[in-house]
Amino acid sequence: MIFNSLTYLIFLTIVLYGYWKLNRKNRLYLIFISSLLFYSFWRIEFTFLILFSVLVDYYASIWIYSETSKLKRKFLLFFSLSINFTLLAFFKYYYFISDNVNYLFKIFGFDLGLPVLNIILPIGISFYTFQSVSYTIDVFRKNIKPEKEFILFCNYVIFFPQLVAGPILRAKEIIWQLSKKPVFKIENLYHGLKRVVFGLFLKVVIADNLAPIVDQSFLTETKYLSGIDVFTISYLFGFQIYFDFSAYSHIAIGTALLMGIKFPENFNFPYHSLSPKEFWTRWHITLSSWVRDYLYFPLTGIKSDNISTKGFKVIVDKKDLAYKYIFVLLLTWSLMGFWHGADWKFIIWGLIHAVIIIFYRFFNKILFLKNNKFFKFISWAITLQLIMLSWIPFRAKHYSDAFNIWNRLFDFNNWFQLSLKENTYIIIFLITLIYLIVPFFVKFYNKILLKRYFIRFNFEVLFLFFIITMIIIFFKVIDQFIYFQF
Amino acid sequence: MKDKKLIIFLILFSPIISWITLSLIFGKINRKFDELALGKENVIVINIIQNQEFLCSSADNIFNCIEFLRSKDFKKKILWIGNSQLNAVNQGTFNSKIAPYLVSEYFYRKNIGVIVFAAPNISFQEYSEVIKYLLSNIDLDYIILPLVFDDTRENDIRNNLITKKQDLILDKITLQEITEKKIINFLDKNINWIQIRSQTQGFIYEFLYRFRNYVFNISPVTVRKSIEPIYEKNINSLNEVLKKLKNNKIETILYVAPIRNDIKIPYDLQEYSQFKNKVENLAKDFSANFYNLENIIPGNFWGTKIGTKLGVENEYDFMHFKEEGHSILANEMITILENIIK
Repeated sequence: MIFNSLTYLIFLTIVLYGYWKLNRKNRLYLIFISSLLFYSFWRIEFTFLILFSVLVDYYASIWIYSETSKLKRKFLLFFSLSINFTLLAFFKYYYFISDNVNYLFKIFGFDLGLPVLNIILPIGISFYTFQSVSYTIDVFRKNIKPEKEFILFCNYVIFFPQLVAGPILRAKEIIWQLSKKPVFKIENLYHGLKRVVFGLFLKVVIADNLAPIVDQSFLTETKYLSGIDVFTISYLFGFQIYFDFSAYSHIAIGTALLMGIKFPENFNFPYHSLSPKEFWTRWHITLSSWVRDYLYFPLTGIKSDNISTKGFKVIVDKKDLAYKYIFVLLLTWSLMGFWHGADWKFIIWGLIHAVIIIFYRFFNKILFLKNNKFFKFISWAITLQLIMLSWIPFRAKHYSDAFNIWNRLFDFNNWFQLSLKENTYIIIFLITLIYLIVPFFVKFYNKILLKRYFIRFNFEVLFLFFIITMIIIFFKVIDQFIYFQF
Repeated sequence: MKDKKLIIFLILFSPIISWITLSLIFGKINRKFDELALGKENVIVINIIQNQEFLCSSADNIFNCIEFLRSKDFKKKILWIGNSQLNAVNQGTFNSKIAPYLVSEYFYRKNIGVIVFAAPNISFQEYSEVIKYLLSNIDLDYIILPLVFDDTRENDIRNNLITKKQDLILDKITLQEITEKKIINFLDKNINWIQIRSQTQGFIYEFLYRFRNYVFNISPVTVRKSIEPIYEKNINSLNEVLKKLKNNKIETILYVAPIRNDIKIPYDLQEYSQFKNKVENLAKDFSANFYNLENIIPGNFWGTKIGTKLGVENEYDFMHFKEEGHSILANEMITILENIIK
């Protein structure tokens, strides 16, 4: 089921009514059934796949925890991870692997002939696999105890607000919230509704209206693009994916809050980051922290007892330019890219981010003007351009297209030639401007308006009425969220 | 706490308040955003022949055109496809006679069927889509294609041109689509969900369009430069269309569409001249008939239209002429077709 649909609004109303009426046991069953129903609105057959994955992790984790032999524990962990990743590999990466292996063998004159099957990608498989895997690893590391109540564990994995596109939750953050009796707070209802409404506004009014402009712009033949066009299309997609994905997170967080459950934040004005490193503490925070805790730390050997869902902030200090760290960073980021999609272009996207971070670490060490305002502005401006340009392979049809588009940046003779429709430039200029102004407005709002009850109240009422009206006007049901494909 | 409760109440009830407001404002308006550029001075005319529609403009009525050609055993079948110049009359009424009607009516008596597809700002890429769709449903002997330089700036292929929106939803038969369609149908039946929303969207886009024109001082006389990649795409589409028609042995009539010539036209004259040369050469390459009709309508048969920017009352209309202009175009087209068909 997609959030931006009338079906979901009706579904949510019914679920919420039951949720606040039922006792603990029935409430857990309600979450279980409604989550399966939520998923089956897309394809019912794939609900069995999730349930299978849940069963494996449930029993494996209990066994791992009770097992005393180190070797057996490792074997059980390996077994659980193998099943999860095999399913992920089959459904998501089989086509990519068979296609590339066939190609590789062809280079050496062999025709391996692996069948290239067109397999349907189960929506959200990357998200729930990562969530499940983190649970098993946490149990293995003895960071958490395994959950013995099956329905509770099951709900942790399949809880519908986060099932298909995150945030990727950690067991210790959520299971206790699902288990306890929820306390109805008007505060949660107020903030939850606002988050859902705001998320719908970002998706339906902004991201969906940007989508056709992005599609048209990326259809422009590369040879016609100028430097300014390359920046324009990368900003366009950068904002589209941000509004689209953050909208999903807003709705997910808001929905959970309506049930009295707090999810971690997934976005925090990422395009205001002063460095690439900071960007990853503000963008898709739950994924970057997952990658840090379950990939980067184990591969580098860094031990951290503070596992949390707060972004990719790694303190490495002296060693961070050592070859080992650079290699691990490249590996981690290429896997991060590969997680997004079975295509070389995503791996390239990941590698670009790794390279940007390596450069950042290097220059960060030799620069000493870090606290200077001007330096901060320059850092922000450079970071923003790099992040935006890095979106090109993410959206381009093929990685070679991405290189061709980037190549246009070096055609200095035609750098300012305009090859897109005039409105495209106006729209992206306005969006960038508004996006950059918003945090200053929020600051002003909190400082000045928050104290003036009358103004604040009326502003809030008018603003909410305006965005709800806009949602009604632009509501379109056939547009899925971009991150569903991952 | 009290204000939070009030805001929650407002969030829950504002969809109803919003909807009532939108219904009151936009419930009775029936104007498409696509037709905005026409202004109030232009009237979209729907003439019919023998109680049958021969003129269509979108997926909503394209089948009527097909039915028109199927309704009689015509000895020749002609399609005339173009932008709103074909079906809009400046300073006209709903009873005005448009060129497509005069031509279709004239040939109907000779047992030759002429259908017309007219959509605002239709691009050559859209020509290709419409022709492809129609050829998969009916046989055609002749196709008339007006060439409007301004429309080579258009890049969209509208999804409601030949496919109904509802059909798009039905393509994927997930439970989501089924329930969503049922809810929308229910809402549409009871509160006019689709029409009021599309009218409101049109109003918003119109406001933004006029606001942009106001800020950047854009008017119909502002010279519009061609956008190279979009222009190339359209020319390539035209190339493909001509190739396809030649292969299918369908005779093609290309003409440079009339444009207001008593004041300076809003094109870069060099680009416009290159465009005319290009299409003439394409016509030669694919053995199509080519005519330059850009100056056939005298200045006094063109009018003005309501301003396309905020606060401006009237502006020149370069695209739509009066009923007398339609009569001139019709006579010209009848002569051309008579010469070709004999």
